[in-house]
Amino acid sequence: MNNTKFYTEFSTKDLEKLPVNYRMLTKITSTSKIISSGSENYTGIKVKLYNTTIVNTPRHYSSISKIIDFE
Amino acid sequence: MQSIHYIPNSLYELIEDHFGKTIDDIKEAYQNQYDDIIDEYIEYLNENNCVFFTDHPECFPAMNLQWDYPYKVSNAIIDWNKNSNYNIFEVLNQLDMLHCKHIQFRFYDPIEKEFLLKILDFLNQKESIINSLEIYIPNTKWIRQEEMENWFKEHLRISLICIHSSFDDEIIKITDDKIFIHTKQQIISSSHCGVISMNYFSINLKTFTESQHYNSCLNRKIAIDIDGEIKNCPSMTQSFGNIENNTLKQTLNNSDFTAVWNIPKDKVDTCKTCEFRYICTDCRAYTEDPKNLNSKPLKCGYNPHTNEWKDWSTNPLKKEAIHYYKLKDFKQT
Amino acid sequence: MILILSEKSDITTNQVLDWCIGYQTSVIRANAYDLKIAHIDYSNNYILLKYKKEIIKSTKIKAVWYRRARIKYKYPSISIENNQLKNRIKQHLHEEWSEMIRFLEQWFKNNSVPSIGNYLLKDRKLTQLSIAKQNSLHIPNTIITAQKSELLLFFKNCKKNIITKDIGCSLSFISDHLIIDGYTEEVSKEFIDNLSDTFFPSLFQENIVKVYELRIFFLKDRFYSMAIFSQQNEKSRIDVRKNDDEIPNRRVPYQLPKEIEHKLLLTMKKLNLDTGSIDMIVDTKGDYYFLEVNPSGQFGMVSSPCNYYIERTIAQELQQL
Repeated sequence: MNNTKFYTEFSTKDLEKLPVNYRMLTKITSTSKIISSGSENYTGIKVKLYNTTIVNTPRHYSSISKIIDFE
Repeated sequence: MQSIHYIPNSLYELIEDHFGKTIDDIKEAYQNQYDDIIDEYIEYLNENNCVFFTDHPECFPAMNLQWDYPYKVSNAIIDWNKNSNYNIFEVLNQLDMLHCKHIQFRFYDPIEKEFLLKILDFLNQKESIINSLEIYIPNTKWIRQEEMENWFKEHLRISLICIHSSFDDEIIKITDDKIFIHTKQQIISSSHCGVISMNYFSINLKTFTESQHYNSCLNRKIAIDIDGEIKNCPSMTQSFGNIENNTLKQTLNNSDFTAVWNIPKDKVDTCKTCEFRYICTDCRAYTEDPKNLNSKPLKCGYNPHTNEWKDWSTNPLKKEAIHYYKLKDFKQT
Repeated sequence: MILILSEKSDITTNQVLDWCIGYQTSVIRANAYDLKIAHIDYSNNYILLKYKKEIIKSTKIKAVWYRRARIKYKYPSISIENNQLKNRIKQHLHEEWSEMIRFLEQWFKNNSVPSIGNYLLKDRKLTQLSIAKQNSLHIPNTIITAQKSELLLFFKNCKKNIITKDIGCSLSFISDHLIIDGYTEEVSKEFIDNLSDTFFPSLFQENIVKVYELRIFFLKDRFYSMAIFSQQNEKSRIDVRKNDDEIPNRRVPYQLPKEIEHKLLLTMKKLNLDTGSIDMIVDTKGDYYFLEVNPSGQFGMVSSPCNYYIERTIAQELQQL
């Protein structure tokens, strides 16, 4: 994800007829494809219990075991 | 990024006794003898974003430090070696029915790729609630770096892969939540577990609140050891039956099983005076005095009174316990 | 059983479901296309709903949570030549469908099926500001105008410190490689000078100089408040959603004064809301300003940092309804 500036593709003529805040719309572009959880077929884990697909699967908030000695 | 800030005991006393007062009031409470020090303390706290000032302290109540969880079990350890022959899919089935979301597999001997894929596929088909898998496997012929990194994308349930007995020590962060670890250590049994170190500190609200009331390792945890025995953790000696003729559900309803969940750090010797007690982990399986369930974790080399970390495995006072647990001589590399 | 009407991507619903299932409550989660009306029986006063492949009798439903409720239908594509007729047919099918959904919502109300939330509430910030003011809550000085001249006057009256924001929701656009979003932005004299004499009607408000802002989740008559110290970070000073991940804003539990809670309660009742996420600002004089309420807003970012367990409370509430 990069360059979060304002979107500037509107022409001056366009802007005259649009809401004032259209001159200050935040724009984010990405070279890789954006996966949004709102789109119909985004990949994730199907969970029957929730009747939906989840994208983020956070690890347990503390270590489940302490078997590796990282020193 | 979560971080720790160290403060001297005197500042702790100041915060505890004078919380909510104005700076002037605090200075007066010490007869204005320590004004400079108090200013220094406040500046330190301010610089590190630990405090804020307000004209309306009544609007800022203390945070409720409750801890709660919807399900009886939140995490599970499944151990497996070349002699294991219990039904691992039955275990997964039961864990799914118990709504246990986080599972850690510890394979001590090489296993077939197909076996792992079968497990992943099983959970996929089930559309299981089990959504966070940690897999510890020894370095084997079929393991290829790129392919394993790809597994994180293909099998979204995987959150951690650790290749032990590997050629290198390396930690690769695949995403914020997904980690790929290589370690040269040869993890051949559960006796390697129980390491207490700053590397295992967990600095977040869930851990902090949980450790106020419950055991920082065993709470809501269930485990199956290499023989299919149901335990609090594979390193503990007490078995609650074999998975062949006992269910995890029965075990969780057994108050003897859940008893150890109620040993918070504040009840553990030495830990109860340690400044790290609400972010540290715990170990009830290997303790300094095997006869005392509330004794300090064996593999902790920290002394809260001197603030020093020392190598626990060479500590002469721990020799008896090390021998008792039949632990090999571990060196801190 | 409890019926939860939500959308596929809502994570909060999953968390509430965890608590419901933990409490062994019988619960169904329906996303936009999961529910259909199979049969309406007037003589015996029941509706048969089709939830995926299952038929559920409406009398089995003990409570409803309108989390982010939208019951949609995948209208068939018609194979006729006339495009105008085709479009009109699609529109008509939608009208037919909407009538049934409107009836379903009314049926639950008329048969005293308790609920939390509302189906597709229409009132947004314009009405909300008006009702809040009626109930003696401070609101920022606000105008909607299409005239540069009016804007300049307003600018001066607000001591040259104003912001602009959307009247309703922001223009949220996501495509494969582009995301566009509207946030609250400051309006400078230079910016106004560069405007055309007229424009699409836009909303402007005085920029309240805040000590902190408040995000308040309310459910029935209880308020779960959090203070956000967003003014210390330049990125989040005007719009807290633009916060800095590196230096996150301080978020702490907050207790509203009783009179503010009382005024908010009256306002929410008048707006027909029994739940929602309220945005407020506290200024340097200690005055509380109401900004808006989102009936189906996120509250996870209040629940977690403040350790409120709001998701658990909702599950308990649904169970007891």
